[in-house]
Amino acid sequence: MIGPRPVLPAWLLIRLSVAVLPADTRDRYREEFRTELLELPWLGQLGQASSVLTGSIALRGALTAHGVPVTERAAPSRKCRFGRHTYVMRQNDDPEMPGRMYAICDRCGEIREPAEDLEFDIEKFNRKSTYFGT
Amino acid sequence: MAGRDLVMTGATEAVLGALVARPAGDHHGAGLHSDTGLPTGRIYPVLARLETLQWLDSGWDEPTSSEQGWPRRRWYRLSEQGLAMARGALASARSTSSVRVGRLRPAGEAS
Repeated sequence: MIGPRPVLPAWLLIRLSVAVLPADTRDRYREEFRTELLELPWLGQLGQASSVLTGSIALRGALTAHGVPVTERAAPSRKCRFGRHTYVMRQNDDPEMPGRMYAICDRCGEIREPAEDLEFDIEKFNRKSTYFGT
Repeated sequence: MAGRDLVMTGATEAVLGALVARPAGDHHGAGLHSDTGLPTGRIYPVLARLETLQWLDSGWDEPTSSEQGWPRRRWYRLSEQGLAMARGALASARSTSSVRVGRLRPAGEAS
């Protein structure tokens, strides 16, 4: 390694953080994290290196996910875990289905689309999905 | 792929907000940390996801003569398509109050 190095504990944390990343990305992130640390005082380096270590598993997930690795789902509420969603209607902005309505839970984002041959009734959805109404 | 609807987290929204606020400029991890107040460990996964979606371009800063031997800094910048997608995603997220819902698509895919 050429050039300055962060304080040893911070540097070790960065090495550990990078070790969990996919092999082909390690050099990039090692250099990137090292540069960021060098701009900080030693106490700041420790804080930042700890934060990077904490986020390293999420970073690995983002780097290894296929398809559309966008954002994590919000933790569902207790009601939602028991299937008692509170649906609201949304219009689909997908170009393949422009204007098509679907129901999405206002708490957890669970989506239900109406069957092709059935008229969709949001009131019925909500009556079935909540204990005491909303 | 296009059928997945996912919740835009606060971290994603904050990072997108900072990127959109200065779309033409180069952003760095430390700068985004200052802009958003988020811990660095939450910023890099968001940047990696946005980069996977091709909303972001990234590259290495060229070191100046006084920086020879120092590690390089990595810059991030919204791509042209990424800027439009980010603005749409932010508008969508801000239009809902309790749960922020957004479907983020790879750049180049029609919205």
